[in-house]
Amino acid sequence: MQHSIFALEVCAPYQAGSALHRDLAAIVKRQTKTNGFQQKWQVYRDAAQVLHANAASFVRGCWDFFEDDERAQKDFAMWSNGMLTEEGSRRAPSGLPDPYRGDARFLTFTIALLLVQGTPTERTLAQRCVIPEQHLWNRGVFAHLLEGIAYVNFASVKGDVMYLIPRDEDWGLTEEDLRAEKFKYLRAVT
Amino acid sequence: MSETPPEQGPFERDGQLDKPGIVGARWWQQGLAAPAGDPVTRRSALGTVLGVGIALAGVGAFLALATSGNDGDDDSGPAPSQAAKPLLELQRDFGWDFSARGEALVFDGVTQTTWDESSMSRMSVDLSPGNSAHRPFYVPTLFQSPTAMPAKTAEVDGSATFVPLFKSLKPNKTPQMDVAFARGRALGATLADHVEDVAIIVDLPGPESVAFAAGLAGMFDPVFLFDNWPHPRGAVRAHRTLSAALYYQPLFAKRKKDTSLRPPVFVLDRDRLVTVNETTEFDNRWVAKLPTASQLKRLAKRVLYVTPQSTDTTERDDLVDEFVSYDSAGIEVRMLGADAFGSTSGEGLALAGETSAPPAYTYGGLTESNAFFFVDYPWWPAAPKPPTKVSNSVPNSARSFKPKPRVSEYSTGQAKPPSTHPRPATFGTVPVMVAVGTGVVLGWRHHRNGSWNRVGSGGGYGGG
Repeated sequence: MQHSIFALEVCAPYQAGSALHRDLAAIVKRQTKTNGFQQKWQVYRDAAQVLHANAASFVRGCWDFFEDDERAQKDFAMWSNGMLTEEGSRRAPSGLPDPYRGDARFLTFTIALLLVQGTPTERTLAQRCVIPEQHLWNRGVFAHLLEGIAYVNFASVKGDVMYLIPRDEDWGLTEEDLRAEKFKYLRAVT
Repeated sequence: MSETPPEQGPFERDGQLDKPGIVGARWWQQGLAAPAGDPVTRRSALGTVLGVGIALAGVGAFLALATSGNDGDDDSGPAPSQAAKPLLELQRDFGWDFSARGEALVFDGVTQTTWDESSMSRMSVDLSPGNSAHRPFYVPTLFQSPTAMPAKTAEVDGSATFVPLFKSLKPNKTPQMDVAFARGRALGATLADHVEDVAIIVDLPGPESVAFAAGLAGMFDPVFLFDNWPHPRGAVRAHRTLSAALYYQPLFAKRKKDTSLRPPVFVLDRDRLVTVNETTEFDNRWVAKLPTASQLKRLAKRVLYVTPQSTDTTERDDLVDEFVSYDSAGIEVRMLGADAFGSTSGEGLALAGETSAPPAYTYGGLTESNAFFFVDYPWWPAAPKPPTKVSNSVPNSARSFKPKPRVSEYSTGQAKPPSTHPRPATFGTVPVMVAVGTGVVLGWRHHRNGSWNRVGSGGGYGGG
């Protein structure tokens, strides 16, 4: 069985109590230990719709589609470990931002799907990811890709990972956090 | 709404974090092989990643999508406009009976079994392939519909209470399904010792396809490809197929355990491409999503394509390019009319655990004619030979079928078809009215109660 990977991460300003964070957190948490195909689809569909509605707020982002089996498996492990090792999250609270000092906090939301290569779902996503290089980081492209989630048949998905940074309002990422080397892969969304 | 049984499924969580700094989890689909190892961490490896594996080609319309409104959350705008939207997407958002809430489904069979309503929540799992190599090709869409709940409400459905589809469904069986089951069993029994390297594609009317596959289950591994949802005004009567699947669900669930290494039988609804009257029907048509030639080659060297009649000579239009590709890749495709199997006296093959055997059906309708199957489909040199005193009385023009390029709305006519196949422009979509500015979906363009229909006589609209 050969694999492809589709992954997407976006970064947006995070205000405590914002609907974006609240909705995404609720979606992540509502998944139970086991999930059916329809439940999976609904969770991803809901997440994609929340993100799509907030596409205007994306400041950074990254997305991948790789058809190489070895790369797909390796990258899926990478995206998974981004969560499992807590690599992207803070080790200590950043505190609530001080609006009078121009403080800002950010959230990131990540999804990665390990797809069975050659299936209609994988082909559909592959076609959707055919983007001219000059537009790769355009927010319209992110919206376009998020719309593609609606066409995913989860029978063709071998594994998936979804996570939100932060969970709590005083653990938001700071601008300094985002300047760190480990976040270099997040491109400015235009 | 809270009584909806939760769907049970194959995704199992194997890692979870719920900490102040991060919340998330990872899942694996059971049965699709073991999880890969986790040798590297993300940020370090992504440090040099530029992000995108595929680029270039037409940018199209997506740039305009960035700030387009999502459907359904806000108040409608002042003046609606018309748009074509995929029906399945609308149903998933607004409910299976989008823009027809309260209208009943019509069945033509008889419920002949007691059943547990909660089994609906297991449909997509019970009817999934037993062989993990077949799982990626399984399309669970239809079996997800009974327990699905809408996230939004269309304006025209606003005052009516949503009732999940499972409340309208019961297991149904028709006499035609009994015959199809017996024919499927007969084909399975005929091929019992010769299943290697064969894949079957069953393309009968939905309920009969399900019954035929039920007859084959235990000898072949059913891979359902039904890619639509029922709708009260759906052009494709998917609810009948769903009810047939519900009837055989216990059998499929039981046989699935025995079919782990069996070859696949891909199951289609022959009515998936029916003609649609756009003003009275909802276009819930779909196209077959079969494995590509390179994928199928790993599963089979021969394909038996089952149609209703022995006089059939062509495949459905959406299969033309696929079959041509199979043929080019060296996969032999032959057609078989299901009616080539006729009834005889006596009992057919009973499988382990069955209390009664189905009626006996044989190729040609005679016990002694069954071996002519291997004359008409000479793939197995060691198969039984028919008695010389019996002549082949099986009228079967289908057996002469060979894939040929053919132009249609769904096929290119090319000898080497591209991987993407043509579709009619509005295939699977319905015309809806959307509020200008917000993009909120108001309802079906031809809904009898829509204010947009009360304006003028020329199909005009404008806020009533």
